[in-house]
Amino acid sequence: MNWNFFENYHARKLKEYSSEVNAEELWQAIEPQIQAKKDRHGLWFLFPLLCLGAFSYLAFYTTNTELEEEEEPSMVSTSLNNMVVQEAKHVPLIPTKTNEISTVKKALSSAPSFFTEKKDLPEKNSTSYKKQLQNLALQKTLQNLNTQNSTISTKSNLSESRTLKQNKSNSLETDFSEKGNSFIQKESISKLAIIRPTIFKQEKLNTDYTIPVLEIEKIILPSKRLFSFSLGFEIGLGYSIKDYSEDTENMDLINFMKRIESPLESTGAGMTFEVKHRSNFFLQTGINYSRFNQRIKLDQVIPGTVQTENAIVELYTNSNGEVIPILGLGSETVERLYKLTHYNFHEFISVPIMLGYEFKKKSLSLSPLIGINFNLVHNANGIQFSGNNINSKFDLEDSDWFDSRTSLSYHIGLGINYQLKESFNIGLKPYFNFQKNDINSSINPLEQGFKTFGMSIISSYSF
Amino acid sequence: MDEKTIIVGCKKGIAKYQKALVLKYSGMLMTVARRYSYDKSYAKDILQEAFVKIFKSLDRYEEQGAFEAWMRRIVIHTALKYFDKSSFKKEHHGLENYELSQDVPKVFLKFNEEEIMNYINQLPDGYKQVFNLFVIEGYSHKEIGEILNIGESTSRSQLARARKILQNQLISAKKQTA
Repeated sequence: MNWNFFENYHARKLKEYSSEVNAEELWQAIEPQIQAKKDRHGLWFLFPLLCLGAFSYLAFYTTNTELEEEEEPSMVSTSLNNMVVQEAKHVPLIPTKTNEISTVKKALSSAPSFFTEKKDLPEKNSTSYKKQLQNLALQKTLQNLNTQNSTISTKSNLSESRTLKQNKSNSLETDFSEKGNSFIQKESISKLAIIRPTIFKQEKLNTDYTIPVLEIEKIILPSKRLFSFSLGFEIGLGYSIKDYSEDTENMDLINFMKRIESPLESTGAGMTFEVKHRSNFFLQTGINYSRFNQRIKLDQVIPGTVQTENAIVELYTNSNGEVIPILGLGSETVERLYKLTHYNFHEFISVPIMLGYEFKKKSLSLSPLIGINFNLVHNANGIQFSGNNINSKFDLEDSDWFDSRTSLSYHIGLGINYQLKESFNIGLKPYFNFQKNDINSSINPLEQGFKTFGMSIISSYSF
Repeated sequence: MDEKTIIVGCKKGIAKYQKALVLKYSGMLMTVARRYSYDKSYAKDILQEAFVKIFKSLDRYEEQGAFEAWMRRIVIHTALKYFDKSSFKKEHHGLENYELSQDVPKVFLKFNEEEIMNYINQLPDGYKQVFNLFVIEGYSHKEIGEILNIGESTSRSQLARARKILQNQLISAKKQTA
């Protein structure tokens, strides 16, 4: 008998030999390690969303209360106190007959302020700003004067106009006509400016005419609201670079001869909700769906069995004590090479919490933002194409792919927005996402913190 | 409970089938673990770790292949990793041209599995690994080289040395018995 026969004989016996082992005890030790961890992810996952929701409600409530109160005349002063007071200018009024000066004074004192739409104000940066402002003031004052002239004669009308005690800061006492009052609507208050003219001095042209020099004592612009809100929609593509150099254990386990993994490609879409402070800092949240696709091409050696006529089927011991193997039909283990292509899909639902700042110049704005995403693995599945055209779909078990279905990722983005209309913006957002997760299963292809570069298209509506 | 039912049940994560798998295959896989271990306690740890890997990798198992062979591979790789694949590095090489005695007494076939396993386990670790991988598992020297991160020629020399030692052990055992 040669050595090779001896080896093969015992190798076969050893392969089939079953050692004594306390399987029950072994199972007790294994069971806790393989049972899927059930995360109580529901509540904490929603926690940041709830926090921001509560914050938004309070912010909105505060702003909304202010607006509602503005409808009450007694509270307009509050609103006016928050307004921004701009520069005062002296504007020569039209020549007026000396004996009419008192009428002008009276008209101005009874109705010195009027409202104009903010959009009618000249651009502050323009070179002719002062001149335009003066013209506007003159025009409006004359309009107002004409109106007041007609009402002076009927004092009853004046008495019907509302008188507002205005204020802590400048003790400005303002009457305004019903026309002015009609501007004070919840929707339009932010679009209004208040111009308060008064007579600064009088210059006599001759005995008949005097030029009253009108002083635009104050231009009061409505203050910005403390908070503004916007709803947006974004859709984007991402590309993840991943280092697979540590991913060798998996290759050993399932005997890959050759393995090529593509970077992760992702697509995503989501809704965003943004609360912006008037300082231009904003908080952003929402809900996003993203899907990561991974392609793995591999050559896999898979053991199988084939029938052979030279298998040892029995050992016969003859009368001399010699053991004689009897060969016959049996099975033999062989290895076959399969060329496989796996596609793994991982679907995430994410809630972002982002902090950003908006730099705005005319219609264009840049909004760098930074924050975290709270991710929940919504679904994980895959499909495999094998060389023999036997394709199969499969679900990726949570316990196999993720120790936890929830994870965190860091996010940095830069929103580049263009204001199409007053409340409607479109934009692009390049971003970088770094998956900082608690996924640590050794066979999980997403276990390593992968980095995603992407680009989103955004549209948003402000209110 | 047949193998296919167990596999499907395990893929769904059902504890009943997972336990059935452990009960059914632990003996056979324990043999594998023991052949790569110093003693039974190490083998038990390796087997436990290997089973966890088996359950976690089961989705990747394709039913075209032999399930037992697939599990054996996992146990082997777990054992090799457990001992850090480094033991052979401490041993000597240089027996590429060693010629085995081709004449083996037939009485050697009477050794039972435990006896053979004991003799194999007495081999130095590196030799034992190569011997097990080549002779028992049927890996080629090229594959062994890749698994253990050694050259093919090193694998050959380790095997030759292992065979020589084993042969001497068996011969002396036979003499003692006689």
